[in-house]
Parts: sequence; structure tokens; C-alpha cells
Amino acid sequence: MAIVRLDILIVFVGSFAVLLISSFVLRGVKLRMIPTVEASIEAVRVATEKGTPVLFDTGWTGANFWGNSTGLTTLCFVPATLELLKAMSVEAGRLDVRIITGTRNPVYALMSRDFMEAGYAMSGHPDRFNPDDINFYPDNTALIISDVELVHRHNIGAAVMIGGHSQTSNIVVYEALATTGAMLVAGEIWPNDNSMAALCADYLSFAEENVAIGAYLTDDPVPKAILAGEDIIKGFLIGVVIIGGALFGLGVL
Amino acid sequence: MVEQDQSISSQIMANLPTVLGVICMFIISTLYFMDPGWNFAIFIRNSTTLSLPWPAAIVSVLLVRKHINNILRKESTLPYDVIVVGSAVIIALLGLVGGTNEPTFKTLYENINIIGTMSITSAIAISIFSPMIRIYRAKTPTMALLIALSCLAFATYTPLGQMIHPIIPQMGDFVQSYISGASDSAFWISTYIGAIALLTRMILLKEKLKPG
Repeated sequence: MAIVRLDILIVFVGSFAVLLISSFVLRGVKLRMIPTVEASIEAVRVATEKGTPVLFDTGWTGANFWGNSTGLTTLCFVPATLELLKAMSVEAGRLDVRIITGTRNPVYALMSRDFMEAGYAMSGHPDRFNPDDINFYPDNTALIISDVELVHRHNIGAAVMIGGHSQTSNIVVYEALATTGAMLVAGEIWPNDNSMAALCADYLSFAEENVAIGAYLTDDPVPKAILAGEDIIKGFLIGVVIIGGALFGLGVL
Repeated sequence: MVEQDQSISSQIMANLPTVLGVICMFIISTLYFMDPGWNFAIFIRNSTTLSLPWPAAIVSVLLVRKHINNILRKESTLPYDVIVVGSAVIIALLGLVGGTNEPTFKTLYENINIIGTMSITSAIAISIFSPMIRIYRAKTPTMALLIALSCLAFATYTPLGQMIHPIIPQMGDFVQSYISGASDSAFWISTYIGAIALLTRMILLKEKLKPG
């Protein structure tokens, strides 16, 4: 049995080894707080002041097994966005604010119920969790139409839309939120979809940061050290690109 | 030593869904690198995906139950709830009785799809122009550059640019191929590195797929 694409396998294993080693070596490292988390918690507070619920929409983020790079990235957003939902639920439970969710992934809908319930329980007000606030829609059209209806019905004052939407559909929800004057924290998995979020959002959240939200929300030094280890790989890749470009320019490669 | 073993085993048991998920991901991703192995990996992946209609059905039932409760409580959203429950029941009954090829089911489903698609497409067109008019003000150098590039893109992909001067579509193509292409690639690479870090944390049981 021959191994194919050995180059990719070496890069993958090498990256994993670097991150694993960094989890031991960089334990004392301190990271700046991820702005997305701060902005999302702020959205809960803004909704409290306005007396409206918060919209938390993650689009098609969820258990997709497409077997390609986009499927993998979507899957990576699952623990990150769920941890963010839990952190927001803790604040929402404390301030007695409803969080209304929207997803088009059934597995994610069931999981978000658990995380939201845990968040409200951690706030000391488990009774403030309402399972009817978890919404699932079978396709993108239903998600968009229903989100717009929810925004207008509840006069939504703040929204967090981090995950997977296409820019041709999320813009409709962004505009509905603009009509109610809502604070919008937004960011998409795919960079080309971020253009509309960049145009409309009060805070633009980047995918690279979003996948790491879980690590920021824990006090454990190990995941923080792994995140710091990412910079080692980034630095290496930047070096490879610069040296490779120079060598190519000089005609060596 | 015994205490440490108990601690590790209890940690594994507490994170069983994550452990199983990581093992399955490892098996499938390993198979992708093997020859032959690709087809078997696809088979396992598809087998897993086939289970997805079940949670979809469960969550759909929960959703309909929510609207039925709203109807019983005579909430202010009564007309909306009645439409949701009514259409769900009619479509489900038609599909269960006659199958998805049944003419009435097919006609209703296709028409509803067309109406939905048309309304979304119209809403997208309005929603794109609306923020552009509202927000596209050259208040900062960044916004000025963004507006200039948007105008360049518009001129590149319409006959207007070619009519003004052939260099305009060439400039637009340069921005699209090199500047946008490079930044897009840089973004993807960063995201993938983040994905590897996340996978590492999952293997170390630092990211749980259940609330802690």
C-alpha cells in the first residue's frame, strides 16, 4: 500500500508536532483578549439597554462532512461558536436577556441547546433559558426569510452573526438589522463572504480568530500555548515565501 | 498512580463524544492519504452523513411543536404560526402519502422554491445597494481606496471600462488576480493553521463537544 501526497502529510504532521511541542514550551505565554468575544458580550449588554433579545446566527456552521477544505473549516467553527454562545448565555442569564438563535444545521441546533442551557445555568438563572429560542431552518432561503421576520418582530437591538453564510444572503439580514439600528458583530468562514460583513458590521470578526475562541474562553494555559505556537508556523511560512520569492527572482529556483 | 489512571479514564469518559469524533476523523483522514483508501474514506464519510436526516427530523418536529404551542397560547404571532404549522402538515402529508414525485407535492414544492428564490434574489439586490449608498463615503483613506477599487471592478466587468480605455479591465484583472488573490490566499492559510491548532486542542481534550 503506497502512501500518496507525502508532502501534504509531512506538512500536516510537522504542524501538529510544532503545536504539540509549543503546548509544553510556551505555557507561560500571555495572549491579548480576542476582540470578537468582547464585542459579542458587548452585544448582549447593548440588547439589555434596548430591552430586546440578541440574535445569534451561525448559518450553515455545523456537522458537515463534505470531505474538502471548506467542509473542514465549517466543522472547525462548531466548538468555537458553541463556546461563544455559552459565554454570551452566561452574560444574558445575568442580565435577563433572551438569545434567539438561527442555524440551518440540525445537529448544531441540538448542540446549541445544550451549550445555551449550560450558559444560563452558569449565570445562576437556569429558569431564564427558553428552548423555544433555538431555531432551525432547513435551507438558506428559510433561514434568511425567518431571520428577517424575527428581526422585525422582536425589533432586535444587537446581533452576532459568526459562522457560515453566503455574502449574497447574509446581506439581507444585515440590512434588516440596520433598519432596527442593531449593533452587529459579524464574520464569515470564507474570506470572500466577509466583504459584506466588512461593509455593514459594527465589529468585523476574522475567521482565523474565530476558530480559536474556545482557547480564549478557558483559563487552561495549554490551548493558549498552542495558539501562540501558530505564530511559529506562520513565521516559518512567511520566511519560506520571502526566501522562495527571492531565490526565484535571482533565478536559483 | 492508580489515582492518576482513574483521573485519565474519567477524563476520557467525560469527553467520550470528542474522543470518538477525533478517532473517526483520524481514520478517515488517514484513509485519504492511502492508495487505495480514498473510496473507502468517502464510503465511511457518506455513511455518517446519511444519519443527518434523523436529527433534521427531530429538530423539525421540535420547531413545529413550538408553533403549535404558540397557537394554543394565542400569541401575537398567530397568523405566522398557523401558516408554518399548516404548510408543514400539508407538505409532510402529501410527501408521506404520495412520495416526492407525487404531482401535487412536486408542483407545490417547486413553486414555493421559485417564490422563495425570487424573493431572496430581489431582497439581495436591494440589500446590496442600500448599504453601499448609506456607507460608501470616502471619510478615510481606506474607504476612498475601497470605493476606487469598487468602481474599478465595476468598470472591469462591464463593457464600460473597455469602452473608456483597454487598460481599465487590465488593471481590474491585475487587482483581482494578484492583490485580491494574494490576500485571499493569506487569509485561507491563516485559517487552516487555526484549524490545525483547533484539531490539536481537540486531541488534547481541551475543546469539548459538550458544554462543561
